[in-house]
Amino acid sequence: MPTLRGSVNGIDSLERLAMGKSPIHRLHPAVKLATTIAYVITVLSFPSRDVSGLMAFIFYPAIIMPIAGIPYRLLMGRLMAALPFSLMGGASNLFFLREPAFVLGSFSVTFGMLSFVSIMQKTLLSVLAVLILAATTPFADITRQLTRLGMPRVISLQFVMTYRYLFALISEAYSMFTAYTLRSPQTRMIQMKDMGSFLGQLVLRSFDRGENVYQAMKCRGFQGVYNSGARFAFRFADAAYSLVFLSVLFALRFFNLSVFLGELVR
Amino acid sequence: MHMADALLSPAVGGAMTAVSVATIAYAVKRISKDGLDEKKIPMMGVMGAFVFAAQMINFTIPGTGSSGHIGGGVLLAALLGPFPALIVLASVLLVQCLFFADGGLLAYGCNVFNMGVCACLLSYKIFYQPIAKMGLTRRNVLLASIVSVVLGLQAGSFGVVLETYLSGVAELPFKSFLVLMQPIHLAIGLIEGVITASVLNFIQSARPELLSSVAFETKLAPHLSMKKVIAPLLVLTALVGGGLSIFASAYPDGLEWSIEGITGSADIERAGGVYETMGGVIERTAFMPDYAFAGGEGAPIETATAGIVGSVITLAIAGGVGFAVAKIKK
Repeated sequence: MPTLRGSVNGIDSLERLAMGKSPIHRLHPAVKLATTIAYVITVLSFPSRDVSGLMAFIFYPAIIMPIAGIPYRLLMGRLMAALPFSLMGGASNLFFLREPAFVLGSFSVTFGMLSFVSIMQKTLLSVLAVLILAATTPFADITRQLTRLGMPRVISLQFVMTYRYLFALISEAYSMFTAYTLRSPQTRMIQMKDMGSFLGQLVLRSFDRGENVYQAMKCRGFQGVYNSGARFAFRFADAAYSLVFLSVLFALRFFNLSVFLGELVR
Repeated sequence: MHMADALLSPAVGGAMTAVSVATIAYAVKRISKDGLDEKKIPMMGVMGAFVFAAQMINFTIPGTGSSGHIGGGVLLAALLGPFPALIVLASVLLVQCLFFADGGLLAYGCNVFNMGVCACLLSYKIFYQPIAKMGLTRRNVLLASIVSVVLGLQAGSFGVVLETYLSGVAELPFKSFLVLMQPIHLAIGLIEGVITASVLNFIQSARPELLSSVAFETKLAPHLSMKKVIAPLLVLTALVGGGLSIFASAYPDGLEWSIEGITGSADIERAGGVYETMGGVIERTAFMPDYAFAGGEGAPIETATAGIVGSVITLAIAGGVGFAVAKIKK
């Protein structure tokens, strides 16, 4: 099943990237988390017909992606996940907002078109922002940071363990799927009537796996708390990056760089 | 049913995050009150990975030629209990958001509510558990699964419609969106309900102790009533949503003009009259921001052109800077 294997590869390549050593990777996880959230909120706070104002926000991924060494090919798959929902909304605006906003030559640009483009911009920018976060910060660092911010340990353990056993269970499911297709060569997917026993079997295997994991953890002295020795120091670079990032973000929210540049040229 | 960020307003996203965080906090409290044996921690982790893997297994839907996969909320709740299930599903959604952009960062709260709270808590408690308590026969499990999955999904997709509508980014009318979403999720729910039932029945015949221990373990801690949780939840929602809305409305955006004012003039030919009518509209909409800058008082068309030309320049500069940074790094 390509999706199973593809997802393992997807997580693997992101996690490999997150191990990198670029200046962005070395930033404090809290800084990256906070700036990403601030960026997404700012982008989404733009009115739904703003196109030119949002344009300047592309500077963030355009600068950070090459510094952090994140390849653009990772973007496609992620856009595919986010697009259906955005396209539905964007297309509805094309249909419902047909009043012309302005006329270019003989072509009248409607508010629907503007909001369609604006929604696509928001989709691209928010997906890029989360991609940058995920590709520069290991998942364990994100959860550790959330724990230090007061997230209960049960949840951070849950996050860490879900992530850790993804690979094990996906390969379990993959081998079950291979066995299934070998026994029924004429089908490409699992028949609905077989799903009960297939998933049921996977549940039982997962439970057994959970049991084994628990015993192994117990043998190593697990007492309900997941200890980690890693410490992050908040450095000068973190403060400087946050300050610059947030001031530029704030400035671009209220100053339309595109219109300014356009006026300069005219 | 994963919501992306683009159609969401910060106010709705923030309010739903507050609701979901509060609900998860309540779930954590309940789990520790019920005495979460540490044995359940690895089990929950592995089950999170299970849901993730299970969602990727596509099956053929008979007679349609299409394929589908399960969501797994009710299945998890039946296997682990509602509160651990919510936490497990929240972790699955976080992994999906970060690693696959399946559901946005600001939409995370919405997604936890629509797919987690609706299925694992509400639908499980209201529909699954009462039926399951009548005895875990094959018929009861089938009935309980179908009813709870269908209604959980209906509640969830209603949540999607409502959150999208309240955000006001998409112009799709509330009713049409509802008419579009609910029947689709009715069909999806029926199929997922049948599959959930067949998984549970398989487990019931293989390891009967698993399901009954969850279904009959219903001792509610008397000092933690649902009412006590819902009241602060509502207050929190109102505070966060209201606070963010006030912040947003301090900077009037394009949503605030009334559509009636436009539709009256929409039929007019594209002549000078339209420019004049639209002039005021454009000033208040986003393409031309409403702050003043040198030369900004010109005709709307000029500003629009400036916006377009400027956007292209911005994009070109951003691309150039990105290219330069990549070159310098090498």
